[in-house]
Amino acid sequence: MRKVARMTISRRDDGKGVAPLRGLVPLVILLAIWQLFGSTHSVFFPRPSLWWDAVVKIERSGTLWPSLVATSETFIEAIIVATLIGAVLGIAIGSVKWGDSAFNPVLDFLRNLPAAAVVPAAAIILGTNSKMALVIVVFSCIWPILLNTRAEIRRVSVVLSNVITNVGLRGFRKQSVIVGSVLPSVLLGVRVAAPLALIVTILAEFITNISGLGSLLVSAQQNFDSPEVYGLLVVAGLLALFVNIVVSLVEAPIVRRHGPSV
Amino acid sequence: MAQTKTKSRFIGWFAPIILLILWQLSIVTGIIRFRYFPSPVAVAQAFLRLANSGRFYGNLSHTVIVTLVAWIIATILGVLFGLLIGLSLPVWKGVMASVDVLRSLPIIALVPVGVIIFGFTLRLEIVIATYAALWPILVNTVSGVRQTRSELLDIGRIIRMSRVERVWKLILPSALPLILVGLRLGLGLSLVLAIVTEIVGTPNGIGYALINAEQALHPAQMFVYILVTGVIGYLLNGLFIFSARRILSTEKSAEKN
Repeated sequence: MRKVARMTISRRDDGKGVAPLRGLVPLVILLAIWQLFGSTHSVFFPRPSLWWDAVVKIERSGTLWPSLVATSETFIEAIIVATLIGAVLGIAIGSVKWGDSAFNPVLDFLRNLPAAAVVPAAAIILGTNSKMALVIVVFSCIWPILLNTRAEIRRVSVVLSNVITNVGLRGFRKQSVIVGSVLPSVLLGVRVAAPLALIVTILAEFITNISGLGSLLVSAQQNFDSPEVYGLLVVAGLLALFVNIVVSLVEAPIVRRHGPSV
Repeated sequence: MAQTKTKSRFIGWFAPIILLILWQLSIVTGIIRFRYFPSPVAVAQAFLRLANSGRFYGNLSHTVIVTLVAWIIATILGVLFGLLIGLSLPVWKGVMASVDVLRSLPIIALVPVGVIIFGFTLRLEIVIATYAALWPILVNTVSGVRQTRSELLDIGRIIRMSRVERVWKLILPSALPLILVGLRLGLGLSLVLAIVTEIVGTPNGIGYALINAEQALHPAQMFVYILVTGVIGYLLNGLFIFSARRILSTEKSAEKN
């Protein structure tokens, strides 16, 4: 009887929420076992301490930070461009009555197009440079932002447009009210888009060998330098973690001010 | 009503056709001047040529089969471990943070690790695609199971359902919508990663054909393969949504009875 009561309560209080840090223990144990019993010369599973050495080696050679900067630059520029274009297109398509029926098939097709397949095409048309990477990343991460904005403007547009006409807002002030009302949704879209953008950035560097984290990974793999590959994987993971934290930090105050998007 | 529906469908076809015409015109008239940007007509011709060759279908079926195999493995593993983690609070507290770390590793950075371990083999493709598809399925199963309403579980206990019965008859059905969302995301990821490994080096499938066409400077052929990947993704997605709706609607009607 006591057990039943406890189970019910525990389910009620943490149905969601952040997983406790002690859940990291299995991963730490796995790495520790790997470190203790892994061989120094294993090509497939080098010990974690070697990963660290490999990353230090890349840092010493002076390619680590420039690559990270290159990757971050493409990533940040792409997020900014995608947010602007996505929000504007989303508002435009969402506020026209025939917008959905006219553009749905095209949008549906484009957003289901795997970014990986588009990278070689962009490379051959635009050449292999960081501008190409930017175009690709924007193309693949714009959809969550665009679609979220469109859905939100559709949701609020009836009430909002009545209010706007009744209060008599025009021009810039009208636009700023609209933008303010869709901002949380735009940010929700950015939240989905950001991890995707990072992956596609690395992917573009990976496939076309323009400088960045992706091309470091490729060259490590082509040299069969497995400690370096594992080390760079960890670096990429940390970058992803960092991006997640930044996005949550930026999102929190805006959502608090404008209310959460549903 | 029916008229407006056909009308909106007509508009839906309108936009792509206009886009195609603009694309063709801008290349014919030389407004767009990229050396390797094919016109839609050239792409259509390349498609007809490819469609008559046998290797096209071989590559196509290779990618689709890899995608589906990886997705099925990921589904089995994801739902199984998702249930395991979601059903028990101590297990959830004990491993979920590790799961979060593993799933947030950028999957593309795992490809080189896979290449070092497996080489450019079929196994690489399946392992990478499975890994990518696993996490959304697992995480959605976990949160679906954990969001089962406690009233429902209380009722199960009151009418003395066994643990297995509770899982099968109460928890799984109520977690089903979220699990289906995870399955859909997983299917898309599985396809993308299959193509990525093919582009990077596995000598088979659509991705391989695509990168070959690029290196042979056949942009029209390459566009055919890009469109084909889009169509595969579109069809798999559509097929999945269609069957998921069927499953959910039978689930609902069973509830009513």
